Amino acid sequence: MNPQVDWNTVWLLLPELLLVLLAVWAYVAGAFSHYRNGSNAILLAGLILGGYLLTQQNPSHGLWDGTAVQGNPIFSGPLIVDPFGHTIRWLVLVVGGLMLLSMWRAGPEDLSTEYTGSLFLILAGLMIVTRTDELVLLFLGLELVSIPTYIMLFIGRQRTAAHEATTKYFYLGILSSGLLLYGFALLYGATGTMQLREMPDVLAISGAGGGTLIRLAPAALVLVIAGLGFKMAAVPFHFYAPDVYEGTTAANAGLLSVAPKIAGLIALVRIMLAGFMKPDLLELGWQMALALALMTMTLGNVMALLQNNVRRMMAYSAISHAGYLFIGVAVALAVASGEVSSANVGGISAALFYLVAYALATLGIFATFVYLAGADRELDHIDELAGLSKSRPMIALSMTICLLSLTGVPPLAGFWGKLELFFCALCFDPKTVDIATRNWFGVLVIVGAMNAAISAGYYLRLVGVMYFRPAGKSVQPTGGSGPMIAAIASAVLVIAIGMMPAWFFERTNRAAEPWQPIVATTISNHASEAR
Amino acid sequence: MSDWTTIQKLLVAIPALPLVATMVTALLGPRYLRGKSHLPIVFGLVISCVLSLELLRQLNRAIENHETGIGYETTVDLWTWASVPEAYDGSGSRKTIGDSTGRLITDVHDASDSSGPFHIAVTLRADGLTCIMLAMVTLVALLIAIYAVGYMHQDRGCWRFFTYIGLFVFSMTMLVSASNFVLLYVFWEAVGLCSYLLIGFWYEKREAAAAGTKAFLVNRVGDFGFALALFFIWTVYGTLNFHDTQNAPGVLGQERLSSMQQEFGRPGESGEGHPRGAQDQDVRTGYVGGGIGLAICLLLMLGACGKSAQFPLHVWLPDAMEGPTPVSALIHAATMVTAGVYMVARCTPLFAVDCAPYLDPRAVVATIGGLSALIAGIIAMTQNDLKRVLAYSTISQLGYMFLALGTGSLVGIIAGMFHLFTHAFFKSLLFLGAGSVMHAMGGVIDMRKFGGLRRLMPMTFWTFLAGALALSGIWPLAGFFSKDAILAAAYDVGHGEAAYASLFLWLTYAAFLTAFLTALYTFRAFYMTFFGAEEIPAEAGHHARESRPIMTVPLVILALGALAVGWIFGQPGATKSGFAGVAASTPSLAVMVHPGYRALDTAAERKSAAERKSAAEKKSAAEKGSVAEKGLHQDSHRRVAIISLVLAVLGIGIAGFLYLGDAREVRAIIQWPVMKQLHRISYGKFFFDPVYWILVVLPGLALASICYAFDRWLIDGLVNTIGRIPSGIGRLFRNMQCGMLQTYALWMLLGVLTLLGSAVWHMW
Amino acid sequence: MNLAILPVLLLVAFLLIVAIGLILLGRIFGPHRAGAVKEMPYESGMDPIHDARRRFDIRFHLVAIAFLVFDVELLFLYPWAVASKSPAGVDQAVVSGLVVGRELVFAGVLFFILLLVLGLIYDWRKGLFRWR
Repeated sequence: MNPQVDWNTVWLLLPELLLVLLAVWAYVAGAFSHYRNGSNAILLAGLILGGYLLTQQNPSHGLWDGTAVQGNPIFSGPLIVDPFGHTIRWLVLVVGGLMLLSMWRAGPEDLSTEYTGSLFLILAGLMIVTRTDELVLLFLGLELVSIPTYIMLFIGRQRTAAHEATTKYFYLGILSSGLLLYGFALLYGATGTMQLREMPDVLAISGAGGGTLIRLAPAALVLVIAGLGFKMAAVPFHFYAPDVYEGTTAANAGLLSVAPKIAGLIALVRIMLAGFMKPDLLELGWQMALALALMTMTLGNVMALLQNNVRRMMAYSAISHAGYLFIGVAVALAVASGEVSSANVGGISAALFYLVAYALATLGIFATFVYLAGADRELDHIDELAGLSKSRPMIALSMTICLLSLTGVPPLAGFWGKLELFFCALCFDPKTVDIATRNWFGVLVIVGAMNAAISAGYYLRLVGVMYFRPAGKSVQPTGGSGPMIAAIASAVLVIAIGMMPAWFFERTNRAAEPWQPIVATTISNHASEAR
Repeated sequence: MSDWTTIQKLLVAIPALPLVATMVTALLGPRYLRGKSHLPIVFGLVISCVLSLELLRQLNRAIENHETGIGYETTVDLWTWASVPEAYDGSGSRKTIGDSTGRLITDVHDASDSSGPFHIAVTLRADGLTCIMLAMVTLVALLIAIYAVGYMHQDRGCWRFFTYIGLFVFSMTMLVSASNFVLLYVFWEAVGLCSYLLIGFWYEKREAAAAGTKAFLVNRVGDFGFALALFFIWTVYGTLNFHDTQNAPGVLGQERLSSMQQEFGRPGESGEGHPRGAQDQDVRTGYVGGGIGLAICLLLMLGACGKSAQFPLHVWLPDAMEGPTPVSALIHAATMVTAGVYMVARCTPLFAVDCAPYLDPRAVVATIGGLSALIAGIIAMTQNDLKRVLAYSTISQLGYMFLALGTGSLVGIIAGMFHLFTHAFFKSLLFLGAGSVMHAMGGVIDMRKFGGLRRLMPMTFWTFLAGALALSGIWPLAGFFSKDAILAAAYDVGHGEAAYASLFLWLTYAAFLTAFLTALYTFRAFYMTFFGAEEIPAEAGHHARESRPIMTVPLVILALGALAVGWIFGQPGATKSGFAGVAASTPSLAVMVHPGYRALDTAAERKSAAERKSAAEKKSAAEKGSVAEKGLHQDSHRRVAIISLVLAVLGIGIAGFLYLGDAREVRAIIQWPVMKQLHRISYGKFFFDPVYWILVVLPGLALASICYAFDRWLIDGLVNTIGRIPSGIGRLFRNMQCGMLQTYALWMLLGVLTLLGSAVWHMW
Repeated sequence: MNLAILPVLLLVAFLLIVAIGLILLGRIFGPHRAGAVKEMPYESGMDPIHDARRRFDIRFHLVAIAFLVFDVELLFLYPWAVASKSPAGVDQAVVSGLVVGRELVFAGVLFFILLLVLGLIYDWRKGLFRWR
């Protein structure tokens, strides 16, 4: 049974409503005028207003003013209000701002507002995904991320490759949505409720309340993982990524590598750790997540080594990082299933931190590509970056920082992300540990570390080309100042996180509080010491 | 910082100024200063030099105010470099060493305070030795820098040269004012680096680059020994501070050593100089002798041999003459090469331990010194390159210094340091004179190609003459006093009752012979350069004239120094504030005046502890008196002085007989069978280089090529193979990415089915 | 026989009769002018079975999408209209605590219609209703 929908629900949805209204406004206004700068400026102002609204919605949790209280989440209508959602909303706003900057001049002139309006719909969809406790709204949120993406892919650039990319993404996206919806349907069939938090109770009385349909829960689990795995570009649902990234524009590739990934991870966390809270399901879940993590990391990295197209390479990079995110998910599920108990930070906190680090660095790199590409052409081959350190030292430096962060070089954000992921996969409480499980996670960490080494192979290749290869035909950056600001801002944020990881760990820890076995500040302490 | 005393402020400022000047030159030189790059360095050195002299004055006053003590020092603690608590496990390591190999003289430790921290503080110290070295280094460096302004004015890399010079002066001043072995080692390496950079300054020249590499590599051998010595010292003593920096009552007593364990690394908490009291402590207490003690000394000596170019590591110094001449004068004659002498003098207490039943380390030091002096003297006889003659002369003179240090008496050690001091003046003078000649001759330095330059270059001629006379040891020039003091000290030991008396007797004879050779080769070079028919090589071109005043003025100043410093500081009747007094106030040397100090005459001393003590008391009292009242030049050594003077005059005369005119006598003499062989050996430099080539370099090259092949084929192959694995795996999966939408969908569905299958297998 | 579903059956029968009857009437009374175009199932549109690569006017799609929007509008508004009148609808939801009041539902519907109006304005400005 849903909790009451009241005016408070509307108030809680205000940032999302704001984004939707801004998007609609952009569409309609764009039909009257094509003045791109003005429209973008208003949208940017809208994002800042959204940030203000977020601070206003904060008091009950005190997440950002340091007065956090341990409390049960609030339910209002289909919404769940907790620190997790709140943190993600901040992430979405920041990511949205960076994307808006890097898309400042993207798309054809007469469709520019449609382009940015769709971006805002995606942001609204992301926010909804993070805050829903109900299957229908969750699905709607995910579709609100997907459908505008199709539009953006299409209007990004008028050329055959872009159309092929759009078509591929569209059809495979539909397929994955279908899988997801099928999973949701089975889940509803098995539990008889749309509310995620009510499902465990039903699942617990296996066979009695839900009847034989309850046996469909594992199938639902598989379908949900498959559908969300597509969004996160996990192997074997990753096939679209390289083709689509290569075909579309750099700005769109940046969007694709961040927005669906956030949506997928968040939805996965919401469903798995609320809906499927039953030991045997969670056990199946962590085993699948572990297998996906192993395959995804490895395949993404080894394939990236072979690429010469920058966007295709970054596509495989995005795939491999999805694998890292799955490490955190697997740990969280294993801990939740009760097979092992963690002596350290939980996987969700680690995955969340990693997501932040990944999103910022990746956006920085794609913003650089946007900056270096022109209105009529894209930056394709790696060699086009040659001599960038001479012609554009600032942008080369910021891109290098982002690349090194993705590699996991200390003291950048990516290093702390990987460190915490590996920590959480290794530091199980030895007293309650299931040896086999622990060994599997040991293997996971070893493979993860090896993959980090492999990834250096292609990230540093880019750095090498920028710094040590003499410029051939020089790239004329015509992307404008927006992408440049986005690139440099991303690099600065990456450094900032790397410099004071404790501050961010504190927040991700608190965001993941409901699933935190022990709200451990261990790694934050390590981090602050190291700093 | 505000509560620092004047001495402490000066002590910090002296190295700081060259450092700042170096940074300014390095930053601004290449683009803005260019030809004016000398300005910051010369300016910094002027101030540094003035401050050094002021420091010497201040120290003198402080010594006089501390009548009661036997030594004086002040330290200034800048910051802590490294600190590891409980790093030293004294109980285990000490016991082992004490029981098995070495002879732990006193069991100082009980278990409770057997562990100590590893604490390295960046601490500077001022004492007699340091202040003398600082004054000498900054003064000579200043004069040479001024000279170099003229010498280097046409060189493109002018800024680079002055940057290196500044860096060198900084490193050298830090080296002599460091207060622990780690800092000493750091700056020991830093001056080595500067030497390397400056030898290879004209790196386009193959010989220069090769000489730089050779100097660096030969020095590595010595530094390796030095590093090992440091490890030994740490293992044995649990501290790397110089053993006399501690603010504790006894000089080297038991209390001191145990307090060293606790307060180690916090020298001079009051920051004020403090007298050394408690004279009745047993000096030897706490020092480890036996095999370990000997090993430490020998390894330290190996390091000193490398830096100071002593046999058998002397081979790098002649080649180092490929560097610019001011560098040869500054680094390879006056300052850096004396670092080894300084270090051994600084470590006197370590060298004074009783290493029975093994060798006495001081005998080794003296033997190496005497041998180097003689060998280098013989080689210098036949070299035709003016700078190389001077280089071998430097080796020879450094050998004298080590001989003096090896005597182990206070008079001897101070004589060695005094020779270091005077040598800096006349040898840098000679080098600068040679540089002046070389400058005028368009870079030619082979004495056979020029001659009779005394009319062309009168200033250079006269100043060179002063330096040559001083080097030969003619009264009353600088070299006479210092060399005579060394000969006297060696003579004393040789005629004493020490166990090594006969050895020292032979060494004394060798030293006399070397004195003769010194005069001979010095004036051979002098006559060949400045007398005979005027002969100017073609390379000289229009350069062939007297150097500019900016080069000759430093020559004149140094010539005055070569004339006077011996007279001023080496006179009988010099008071406590003279050279001997200041040097003797150094704590590590003042130890020798202490009644417990073990002189070299071990045979007499081994009888019994009580007897030893009384004998030593008597002896040291006498020695202290003699040093304080009579200075270095004692009446009883008039005989030595006369012999050496006669030998020097004889050498000059024979040189004149042989080399003035057309030198047909020389051609006749080297036809004599014995002389022919001797000439061959001398001309071939005792064949050190080919022997080292066969014994060291060739095996090294062979090993290197084996390692290279191993690395190239096996390791690289392995690494590359492993590196290919990931991309190989990638290639395997490449075909899956075929670009077909239907295939992708199929793969996705297959994935779902696989997962479903595993779920089914898992749940049912 | 359960009479409860009789109206449904009657409706089905009625629909069948109308559909078949209309086709029959046309066959019987209509003029017969044979030809390739006339033989097509949708005379004014396109041949449903043809080569996939044939071009056709993109505006068909635009109109179809615009139609879809208003079709969905109907899909939402009709149930709301029924529920707001029925005692078992919105009132019941308010009573059982699902929604705080009728006003909120009404506001939601208004917001929905607002979005649709904005969409209509957008379509209009974009020239969707101009065929040429």
